[in-house]
Amino acid sequence: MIQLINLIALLLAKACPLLLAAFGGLLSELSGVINFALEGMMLTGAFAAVLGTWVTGSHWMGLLAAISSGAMVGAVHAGASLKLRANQIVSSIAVNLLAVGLTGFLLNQVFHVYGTSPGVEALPSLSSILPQTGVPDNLRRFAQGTSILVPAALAIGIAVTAFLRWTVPGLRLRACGENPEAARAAGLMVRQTQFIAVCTGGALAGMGGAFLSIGELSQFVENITQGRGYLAVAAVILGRWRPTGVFLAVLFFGCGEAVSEWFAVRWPSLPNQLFLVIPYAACFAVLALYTGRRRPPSALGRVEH
Amino acid sequence: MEMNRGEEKAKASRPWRFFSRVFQTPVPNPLRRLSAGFLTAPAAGLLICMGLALAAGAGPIDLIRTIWSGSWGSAEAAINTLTKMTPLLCTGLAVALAYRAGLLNIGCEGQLTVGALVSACFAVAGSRLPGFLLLPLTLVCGAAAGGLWALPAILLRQWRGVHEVISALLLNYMAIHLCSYLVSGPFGDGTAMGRTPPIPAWAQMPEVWRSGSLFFTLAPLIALLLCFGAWLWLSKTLWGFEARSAGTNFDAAVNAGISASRWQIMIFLKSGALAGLAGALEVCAVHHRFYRSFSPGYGFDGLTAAFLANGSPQWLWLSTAFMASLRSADKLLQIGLNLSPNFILVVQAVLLLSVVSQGGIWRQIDKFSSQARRSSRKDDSTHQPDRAVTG
Amino acid sequence: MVPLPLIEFRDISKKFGEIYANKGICLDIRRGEIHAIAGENGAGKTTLMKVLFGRLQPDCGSLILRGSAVSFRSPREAVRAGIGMVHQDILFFPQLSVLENIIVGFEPSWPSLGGSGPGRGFFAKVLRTGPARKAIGEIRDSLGFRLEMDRRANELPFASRQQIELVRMLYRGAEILILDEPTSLLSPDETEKFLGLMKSLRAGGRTVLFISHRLMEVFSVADRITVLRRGRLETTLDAGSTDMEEVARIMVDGADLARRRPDRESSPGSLSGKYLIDARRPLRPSQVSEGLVLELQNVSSGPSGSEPPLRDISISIAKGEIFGLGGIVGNGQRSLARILAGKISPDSGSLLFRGEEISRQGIKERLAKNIRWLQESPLEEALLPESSLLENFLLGRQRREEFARGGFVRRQRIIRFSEEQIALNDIAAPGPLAPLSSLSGGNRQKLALARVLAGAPSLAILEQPCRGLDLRAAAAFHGRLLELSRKSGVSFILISYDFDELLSICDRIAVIYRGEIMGTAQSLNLSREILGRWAAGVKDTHGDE
Repeated sequence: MIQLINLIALLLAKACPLLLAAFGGLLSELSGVINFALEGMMLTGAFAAVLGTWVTGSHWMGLLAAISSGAMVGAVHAGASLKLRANQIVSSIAVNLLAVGLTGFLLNQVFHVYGTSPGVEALPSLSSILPQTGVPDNLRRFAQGTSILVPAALAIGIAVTAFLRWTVPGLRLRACGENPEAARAAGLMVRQTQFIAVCTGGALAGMGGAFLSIGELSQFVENITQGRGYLAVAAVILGRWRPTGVFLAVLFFGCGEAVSEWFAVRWPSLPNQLFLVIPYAACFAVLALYTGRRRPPSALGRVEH
Repeated sequence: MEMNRGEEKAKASRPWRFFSRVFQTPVPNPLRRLSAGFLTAPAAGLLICMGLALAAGAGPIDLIRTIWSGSWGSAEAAINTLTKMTPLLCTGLAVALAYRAGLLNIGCEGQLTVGALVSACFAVAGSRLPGFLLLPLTLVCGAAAGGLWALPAILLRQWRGVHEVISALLLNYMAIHLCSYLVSGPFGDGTAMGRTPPIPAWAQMPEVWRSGSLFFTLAPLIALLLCFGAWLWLSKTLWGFEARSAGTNFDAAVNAGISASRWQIMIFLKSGALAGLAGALEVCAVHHRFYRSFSPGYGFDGLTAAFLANGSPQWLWLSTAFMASLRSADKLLQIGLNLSPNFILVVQAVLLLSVVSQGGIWRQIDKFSSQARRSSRKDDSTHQPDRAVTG
Repeated sequence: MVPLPLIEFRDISKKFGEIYANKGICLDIRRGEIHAIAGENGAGKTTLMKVLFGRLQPDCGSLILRGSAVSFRSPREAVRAGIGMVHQDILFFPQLSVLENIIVGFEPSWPSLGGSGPGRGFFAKVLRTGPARKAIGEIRDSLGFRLEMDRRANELPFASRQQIELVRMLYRGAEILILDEPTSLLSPDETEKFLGLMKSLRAGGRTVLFISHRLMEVFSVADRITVLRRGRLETTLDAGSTDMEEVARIMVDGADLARRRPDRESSPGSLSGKYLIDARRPLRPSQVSEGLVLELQNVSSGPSGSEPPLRDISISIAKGEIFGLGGIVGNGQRSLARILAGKISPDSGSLLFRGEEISRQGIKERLAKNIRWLQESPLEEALLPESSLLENFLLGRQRREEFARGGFVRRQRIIRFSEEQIALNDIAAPGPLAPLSSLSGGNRQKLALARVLAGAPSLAILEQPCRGLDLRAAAAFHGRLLELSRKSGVSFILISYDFDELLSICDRIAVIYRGEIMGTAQSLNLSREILGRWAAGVKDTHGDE
């Protein structure tokens, strides 16, 4: 039982950053902008969370810093690809490089260290909002090992799904990704919508990054994301650009990561690197084996002139 | 609500009235042509980076001087730079070649690592072979391994429509972790250093010049020859033409009887092989063994270099020289100016961004200047109806 | 007293590059009329309408709507002012449902702060599909459309997509409707219905701007007719006080010339006087007996894209014959052309080229047999937009001995070849080294045509060859076609949606409807009416085969 609870907690902890990033990417891609820059957004968010917490002393401010810095990175990508019509894929890669470079550079400039930042206060766990009494032991144990961002991430996932399906701006966002010309003729502000979508996506990915640095750990490690941003992009593709599909894909990748970590704990004698391959290999295998019927947004990557 | 568009317009055009006085004419043509080359983008990007360095306490003059002395200032530095150029030429060529065929090979990092490991292992295992056979075979093995590591990415694109960037990135992480496991376990030299045993002397690239610990091999020459060959192939032969056509307009190529997807697969494999060769050359000519975290980011450096050269193999020598200068100056930057090596990455990213958006930047400037001219013309003509109302 | 016009165009000019698409257009539109804008392809009709709809900004001139000056910087503002446009290149959202397609930009929502309308509703308001469904249902039923609101738009046939756009405009309460060539892709039956629809819209108090180059349709509904020619407004006439002949002459020759030569005969079978050559003559029996170049026997294939499956297509084409394939768009022409060119292979049936079975051969093998293909949209399917003219000419010929030796491209030869072709086909280009992107659309089409026709192919499959060509170029092309077929024995399959073109140039014509050949006959025995009936799916006894 305890094993199972730990496993679920681990799974959620692994899946939630991916969930946030993937839904951010979903927003951006449904609006028609290719977003491979999730990695950079997450990384920046992770660093900004630590920096914000370190400067203000409040982890909530850190979270806010992560969200806004993610949005800023989104603005760079959106500006280059929408305003300056850069190749969206190359722009994404450049943004990712920039994030790696800038976080490392600032880590050195601000904290005068290489590799790992000093520790800061992490976000509280779920148990902080539980009542003191009258809670079953198992639930309390689960809550202690689970960051407060987990329910937040799940709620955001549901909110984004509902937003896309049932609200006016959600419909308009999808319309922009389907046919920007037609959307313009229908009286929508295409560029602005796409810009906001990419920035919001960046904010979500930044939050995902904060989960890594001040949710799971309490410090920033250089290149802390380890390709999770790319896994999130793969989740969007695998989920065939549908919120439920993306959610399932994220859970699957979360499983992969959880399993890899669980194995590493279970068989400490085997080299760690062997387990690290698992999430990427699983992702690759699923991409190769699975085909969906649904196609990507019709105008993905096409910028209206 | 009705909105007074006229007023809004007047407000919006005010900055451009000022702009128009400064910028009466559109951007002159020669300047544009210069910008189409690869001079303006690095210049703009470098300015941004200098600003960043200045904020970190390093003056621009110091910065340039440090980079110069760290890369070309002494014979030692120059050789170091040339040595760094070799893998960059290969990976840059790999990216450029794939790009001309309409593909983005971002998996050079992984292909290079796999190529290096396989060539090192082959050279160790095949030490019975004579020298004239072992060295070429080692290089071929590395190239083949790199090509094979690129294969899944391109197949996934052709079969499943998954963008090759995503699959190649996943392959990168897999390669790095897997190779790191292999050298600390089965293929290691028994120490905890995470490296293979050294390759036999006759598998090493012959030195053409040596002074103390500095030495210089044929490897840069091989890389340059490859670039020349690629240029010749791409721009002069019908196969190069077919591959390029597949890159510029896939459908048109197919309709002209070209097996475009076969070309794309072939080119991507070659691209992977070039990256693998970069690894093999590093093993044979520089390190003489494979060790954990082998590539210091040659894959992404090559990507930047390829984009700086606008995808043309004939200009790669220049862009890779630039990237290699930055790389070889990083230690001096850290010691002399206290800039972390990550600064190079920032420079690289800013350069890449400015190169890919340079067309857009000029379009914006053109738009502004023509808008400015139009608004200044409107100011002159008073008979135009000033108030415009919609709704 | 003349009532105040609803819309006034005052001296509107719009330039693309060095060419005026519209020059100094002054035009009044009255409230509640159907105002037809007629003109040849490329006369500037669509440009003018896009200016009115805010999709393009004029270089100079002004628009006056209901007495006050307006300048629409985007369609948003035009929509807000009560203007709606049904585009020729239908604008729709492929993966959204029909309902979503219609309400986008004008969604009923909750809470309804500030009302719903274009551009409003930035904050996350909830969609209320119930009222929308009801309102759209009413509009749909009043027009007699059958649209399932929950289907995805890309699953619908073409005519329904157009209906979506029309319903969308009415749903938004557009008072002024711009219909840009709405009938060009409809069957005669559907066209008839559509024209009736326009009249009922007028009766409902709406103003309709109807853009067309089909005078028959123009005269059956329009109150007034404006003729554009080469970007200029030639004249505006009352439909009652003019006739088709006059309008057709003005479209071709301009108002001045038409007045000066009122007795100019327009050729039979080309009502608008569009095609100046009447080349119809039966093939001599000897020509037919020289042998069939291509024979299709019971060719069938599955559906592709939005096109229906092909069923039992049997055609034969003789040496030197111009064979026309007519029909409404999307009835299988595209698939058939791709089967002929070797891009897709048929599910069953056989293709015999000079007696040899080629249905399993690809494009490459067929190119080697000198079977050439002009695609429907060459820029996307056949040309290299970033490359030089030289490379564009080389594409498709790169494996020929004359252009490549030992793998190396023979640059001088291609330059010479390109220069010859540029001169021969009257392509306005600075030289073979110029990039293709520096050419205008018409010249790109000429280049694509030149590439197909160069060196007298044995069989050429031409999809919409006159698309984007002006009159002179089209006439020159038709002349070239005749010369090649008669003198060099080139066989042509000409796929066109324009019956006048087919009737004026082809030896025989077949019409395809829902993937089936409705009839094939010598074009001398055919008329527009028969072709129209075939295209609408009515089989009759006129065919001689």
